[in-house]
Amino acid sequence: MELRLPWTEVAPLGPGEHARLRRRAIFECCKWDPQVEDVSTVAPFPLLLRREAWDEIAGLSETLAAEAAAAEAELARRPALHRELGLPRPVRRALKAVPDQGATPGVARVMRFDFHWTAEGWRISESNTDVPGGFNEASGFARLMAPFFPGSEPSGDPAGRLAEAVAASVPPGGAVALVHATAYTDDRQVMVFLARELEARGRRAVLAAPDHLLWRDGRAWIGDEELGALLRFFPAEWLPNLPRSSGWEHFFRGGRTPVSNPASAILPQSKRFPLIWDRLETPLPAWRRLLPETRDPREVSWKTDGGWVLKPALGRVGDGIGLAGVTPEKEWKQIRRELRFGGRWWAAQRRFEAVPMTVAGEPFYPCVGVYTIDGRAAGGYGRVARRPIVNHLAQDVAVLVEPRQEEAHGRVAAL
Amino acid sequence: MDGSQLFEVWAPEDSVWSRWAKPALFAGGPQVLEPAVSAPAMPAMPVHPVDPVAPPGSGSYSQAPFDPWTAFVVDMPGERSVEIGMALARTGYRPVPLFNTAYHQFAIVPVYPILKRLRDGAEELQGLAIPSDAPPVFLLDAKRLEPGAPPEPGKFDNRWAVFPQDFPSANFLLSNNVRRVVLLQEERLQGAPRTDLAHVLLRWQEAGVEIYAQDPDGTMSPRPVQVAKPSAFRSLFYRALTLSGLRRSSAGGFGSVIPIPSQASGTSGFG
Repeated sequence: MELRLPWTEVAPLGPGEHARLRRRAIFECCKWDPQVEDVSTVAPFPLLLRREAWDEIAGLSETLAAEAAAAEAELARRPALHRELGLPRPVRRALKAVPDQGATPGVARVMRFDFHWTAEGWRISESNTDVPGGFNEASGFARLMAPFFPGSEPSGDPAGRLAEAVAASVPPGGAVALVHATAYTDDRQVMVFLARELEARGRRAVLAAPDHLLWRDGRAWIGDEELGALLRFFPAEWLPNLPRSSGWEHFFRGGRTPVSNPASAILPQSKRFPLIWDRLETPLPAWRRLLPETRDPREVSWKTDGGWVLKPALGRVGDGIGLAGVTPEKEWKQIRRELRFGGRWWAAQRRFEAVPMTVAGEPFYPCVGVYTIDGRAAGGYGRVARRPIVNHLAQDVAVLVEPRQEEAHGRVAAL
Repeated sequence: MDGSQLFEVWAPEDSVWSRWAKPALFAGGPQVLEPAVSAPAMPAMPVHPVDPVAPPGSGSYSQAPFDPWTAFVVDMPGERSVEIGMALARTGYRPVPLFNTAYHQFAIVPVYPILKRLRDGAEELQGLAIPSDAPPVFLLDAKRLEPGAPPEPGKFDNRWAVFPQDFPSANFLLSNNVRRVVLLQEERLQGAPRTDLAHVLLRWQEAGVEIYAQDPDGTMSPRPVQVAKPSAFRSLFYRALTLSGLRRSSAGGFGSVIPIPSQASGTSGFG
């Protein structure tokens, strides 16, 4: 039986409208990376999902989030499994101390699951359980795009929901540090956008690098001010690059200031997470159903079998992914070289055939990242690529949803 | 003129190169500028574009005001970069600001003078009839990684670096008739681009774009340059490696205030 496509075809905006929308995204949504090499990262069309499709992936995401949280809690107690995940040694060492020193408390637990539509239905390519990004586009850009497609609405407001959840743990007027790699304009734009959301809720946002923090008795301070919460946007595996005196290990264990997310969130983030499923007590039925088969690349014949996708265990935004026939030859060679001696830092995932959407006669491969905040779906972050690999050269696309039937009928009746 | 309006002047919709203009400085900076009194005249500068007719390297460079096959990358300190961009705009090139950094009162890389030049030049730039297909002049600040002050507590660390994805690809340049790129930088560098820029220029050169270097304040004509292969060239993880390295060597990275340590804490700093 052929499945019904989960989206509705739309026509792109005209060049003038698109240029104005792009400019508004830059200045109203802090979209400061609107161009990556030759690609305009702001797509001139939305991904308009059918209501039932959005409801389905929102529900699946909540199940995935619950399973991931349970697996993460179990993994935190079982450091013997961490090596298999391809985590760097300093990260493993910090995680190993969690049972003795206590896990740093979490607040506003945020995750994102990246969905692709295939001939067999929805599949996920990966999860971002550590520090998912894309809030500016998912909340701000979608809000700007929606009026161009009457009757549609943004899939949610993950930035607002995240700010709301963090603010709930901090008294009005209290300070929240937004901890990020401050060198990165791409990261800073996310932080500035979330800072606005926090300040709109009466909390003070402090933009900081992780080594700006002072840790006293497990509590985080900036100068003479104690922070009410930390919003971490600095990848957990990068923390050991900082000097030990920065106290970065408090993001993993021994901290008393709540963090969104504690660095133990890296555990299910690894692309090698599926390799240890059979050794976990936590059942992961949704993960098993939605994530393609994943193996250690040293155990499969990926050199001759083009059905495998190679992924760095801790890769981000699709970079470093090897896909025979799609990855440019030079990159593919580099990946082969890396894998010769570094197989334990990689995962091989069964390739799936994503179904492209068509816009003005051209195919685009969409990916919908669904956020969950404290286990509840909060909205979608869309990207589209011209090839079946969604990486840093993909375009951001606003995820919009058709109105519910009863709402649509109500609107017609009102006319 | 607010940030959006100023950006509109420097990155007009009708230029194909405007897409690469970096908005970060425009988004956070212009409101700090005092009202313009009168735009000061910008100094003229001697730039000797490559003569499209003469074979490069023959020594026969002219004072030709405009060469449709040549683009520029201006890697000069601070506002000088903007001044050169304006001078080239007067001869028909399209300046494209790539200042991917933020303004702050205590910034270690001073960007106020850059912002001021951008604002002061806006009216004149608007009045220039630059063709929509004019070749680009990419503007960088040579001080992006060499700040005037060390990144110490209380300062705003706004250093930045350029990456290949901040520029058009060689294919895009060539398909838009750009065959040569002249790097305008100080003579003391002897034609060797700064390391972060070398990653960009070598990609272009390998794809067939000719690279020249010139000191815009000197008297020499552009000289052909063979860009040396920088460390981690074409590495899959070059960007992450670079930024990771920068963070390690600084007091916490770029684009944020380095906090003043508490007098009472007894701690010795931030690592």
